[in-house]
Amino acid sequence: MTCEEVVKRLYDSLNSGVPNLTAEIMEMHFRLCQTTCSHCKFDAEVIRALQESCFGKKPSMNLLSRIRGDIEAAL
Amino acid sequence: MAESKTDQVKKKEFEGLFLPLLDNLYSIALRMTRNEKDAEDLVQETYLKAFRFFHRFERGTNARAWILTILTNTFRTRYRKKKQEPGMVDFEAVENFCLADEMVKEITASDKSEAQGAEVVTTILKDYVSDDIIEALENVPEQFRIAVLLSDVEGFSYQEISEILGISVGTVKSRIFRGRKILQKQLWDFAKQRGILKGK
Repeated sequence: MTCEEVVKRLYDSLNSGVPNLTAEIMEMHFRLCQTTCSHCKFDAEVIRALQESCFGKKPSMNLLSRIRGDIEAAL
Repeated sequence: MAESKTDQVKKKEFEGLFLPLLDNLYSIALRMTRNEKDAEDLVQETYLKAFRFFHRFERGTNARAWILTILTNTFRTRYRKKKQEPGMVDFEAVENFCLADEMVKEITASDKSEAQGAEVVTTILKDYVSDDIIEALENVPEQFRIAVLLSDVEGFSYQEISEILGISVGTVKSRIFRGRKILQKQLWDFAKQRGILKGK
């Protein structure tokens, strides 16, 4: 498996899993290849930074009461 | 008009299932609309639609995915035209773009080895502020932005995203791949503009 293939499969493995054999080949590649290892670490860091930036935004206090009002009216 | 007991049961069940998702839905809506007022309106409309169609929700299935499908469809039909979307993207230019490689190249152009450069690059994202990352994400065109959001931020599987967006799994993979590349290119442009790599 080339470095590029490993990086592509990494996303598949994070998203929906990969067969055991593929996971083993990827593991071996990481142990032997410093470049791919840092590459994957970096991509994982981009995702982590994205998650941190997107969470924690809260709506205004009255959104919940607006929604509850709509539900009451729809009954 | 007095509410029947059935109405009360329905309301209680709906609120128990979906109101705990409010903050999460708002956060996704905000990244879609890129505007707080529109995000709140989008979420409000989504809840009303979800309540009206609650009889179609299959108990025991993924409530979050179900209401997100409604949110996404509502966004597509009502809000997408309101704010100017980022311009066309040159896919050939971003297809092979790799932020990590570009940064390593920049850093090793001075006096560092490739291994040292790679080491620095893994910590460099801490130099971005949260607003930079949000701005970079907002500059990703909508169809790719939503795919990246659902995958990387919300953790849905390809199959779930395919059902939420009503597209094939292959298209989901392609949109996520391209979306990540465009996001990385945006982050690279910020790094250059703001001198994040200087002195590394």
